[in-house]
Amino acid sequence: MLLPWDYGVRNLQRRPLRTALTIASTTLAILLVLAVAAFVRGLSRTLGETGIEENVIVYLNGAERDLVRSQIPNRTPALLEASLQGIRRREGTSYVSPEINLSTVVKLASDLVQGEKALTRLGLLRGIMPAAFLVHREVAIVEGRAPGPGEVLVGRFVATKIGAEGLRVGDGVDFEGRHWNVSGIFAAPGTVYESEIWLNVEDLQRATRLEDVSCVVMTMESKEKIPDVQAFTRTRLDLELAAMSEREYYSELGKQYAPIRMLAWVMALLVWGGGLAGAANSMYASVAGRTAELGALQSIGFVRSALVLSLIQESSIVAAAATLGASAIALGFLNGFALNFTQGAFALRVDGTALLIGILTGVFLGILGALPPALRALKKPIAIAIAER
Amino acid sequence: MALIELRGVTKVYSKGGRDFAPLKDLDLDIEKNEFVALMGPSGSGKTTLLNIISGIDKPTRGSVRVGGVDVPSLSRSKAAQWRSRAIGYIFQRYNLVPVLTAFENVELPLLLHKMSGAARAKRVTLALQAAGISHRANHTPTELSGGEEQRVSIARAIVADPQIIVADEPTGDLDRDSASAVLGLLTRLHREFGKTLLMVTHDAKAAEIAQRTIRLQKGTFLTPEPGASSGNGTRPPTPSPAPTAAGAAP
Ligand SMILES: Nc1ncnc2c1ncn2[C@@H]1O[C@H](COP(=O)(O)OP(=O)(O)OP(=O)(O)O)[C@@H](O)[C@H]1O
Ligand SMILES: [Mg+2]
Repeated sequence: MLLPWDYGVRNLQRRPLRTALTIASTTLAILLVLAVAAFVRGLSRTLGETGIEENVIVYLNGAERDLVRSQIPNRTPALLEASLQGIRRREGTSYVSPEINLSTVVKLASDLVQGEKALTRLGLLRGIMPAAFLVHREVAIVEGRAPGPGEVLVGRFVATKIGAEGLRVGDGVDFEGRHWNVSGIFAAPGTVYESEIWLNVEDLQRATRLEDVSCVVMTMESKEKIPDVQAFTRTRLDLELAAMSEREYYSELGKQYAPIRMLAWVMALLVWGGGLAGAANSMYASVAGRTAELGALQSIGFVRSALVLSLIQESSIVAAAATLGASAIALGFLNGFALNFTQGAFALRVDGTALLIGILTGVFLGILGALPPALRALKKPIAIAIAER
Repeated sequence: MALIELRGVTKVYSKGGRDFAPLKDLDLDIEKNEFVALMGPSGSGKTTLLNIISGIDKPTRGSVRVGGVDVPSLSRSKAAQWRSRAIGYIFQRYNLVPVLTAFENVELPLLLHKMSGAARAKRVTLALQAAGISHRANHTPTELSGGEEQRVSIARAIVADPQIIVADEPTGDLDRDSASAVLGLLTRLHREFGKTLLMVTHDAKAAEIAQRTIRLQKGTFLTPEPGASSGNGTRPPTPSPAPTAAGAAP
């Protein structure tokens, strides 16, 4: 009941230039949608997946969950360790990590030469003790070693975050009035840590003349122990502490980006609409000259739905080629591409969901692009269509 | 009952708020195996009449029965299905699908019927032979002359073995030689294959090959129908059925 499969292919071959242009513009539309999807996926993953289930962050009550604004006394970590049951312990070490979160201007060697004209680079610092590597077990040093005095360990995306070309072991950076050497580079896939600069907490305190830490991160034996920590902070009001699961903390942070995500999807929708208009337009052009042919096919006995299907098939071939092209480009060039944002940097992520969105876009462009021209061509009474030149 | 039977067929179009009727209260009977030529000046409603008989267009009033089927009552898709069995339509401008070869164009009507690929190929080959165009089977329409294209279109009209062939100025775009070849072919369809033909033509000479010529003018037949005949030829006795294209196929 359908036209031969070749019918669509051959109609496309008849006008190779138009077909090529249509494939190119459809590829672009799908690629842009894929880019938005990868952006949102990357952002969501970085903020949604940072944090370990059993980790709890203890910070200053009233800091409104902003660790940079939180200050708690140096002795609090030891006090927590002594007062709380259920903190993970291994080989005599407790999983208690006092940390300082600080955001500060970072200068590269080249900036010092440029002086006033140099870019202002905002770096995210985290003052740590060795326990940090126990508590943040996603973090793995991929090059060099943990920082000694006067040294920093940098995440893979620090360069992106501060707008540098790249940072290698042995490079120098300046902040808080001192010079620091990069001792190593760490990875922590999908987390915000990758855009942070880590250094020893005492070093940082000395450089900044801070006496406090920002927070304490602890790994509990299980996530069920986290409410105990929260109960403790509520009974010891004198300590002025609050506690929150690490997962929750970062996903709350992610909610700040809801408007950006919305904007991204709105953009995707606009691109989508443009792609649809383009696909429909080229199908209009392709079908316009075929009115008489489509009329004749109906007078032979082909029903309209069969002809609509043939035209959809024709535009779906274009859309399929474009989808393949766009997916290949996205996987090859977009995936892993690092982007900068206030809370750190993150990588575009062309994952299954993003690809699915791209493929669905292709399918919809294929089907919806063909429908309006097909319906318009077939709405005409056959008698009039046949007579058209 | 005649194979094609029109009673009180009227077609009214509204143009710019004004109604005008290219067909007015027409009665027409065409018997099985008749070859009728339809003549008339441009705009007299000839194509409209063919389209109404084929179920491509609907009359505003009146009844159209073809082989006992009440054609105007069919839905658009039912009409398409019925047409694929009952009618072979030949157009003035051939209306072949440009991206398909002659063979594939002729095969199109058969795609609408349950049939194996081999059976289809056999039928297509026979139809191409009958139309004398087998040697061009693998050419696309752009590679064919007008006369050759019209032969392909005739092969396409007969391949599903419909009882009725309607042809709208089949020689209108052809030179004299090609035209007479096409007319010869139509005569064969009538004589050898026993088809019922209704052919629109502007050419009195072409009309001569028909058994009967009817003339439309301003929406009515010049000679009243049914009953009398006009022009050349008289109402023929129904000839004995000749083998059809399908009959020729095993
Ligand atoms: N869909 C339509 N809407 C309005 N008017 C129409 C329509 N179809 C046909 N007509 C008019 O009806 C009249 C008859 O048209 P038709 O095509 O049947 O004439 P014809 O005898 O086949 O003419 P020709 O010899 O030029 O092919 C013409 O005046 C035509 O303009
Ligand atoms: Mg006409």
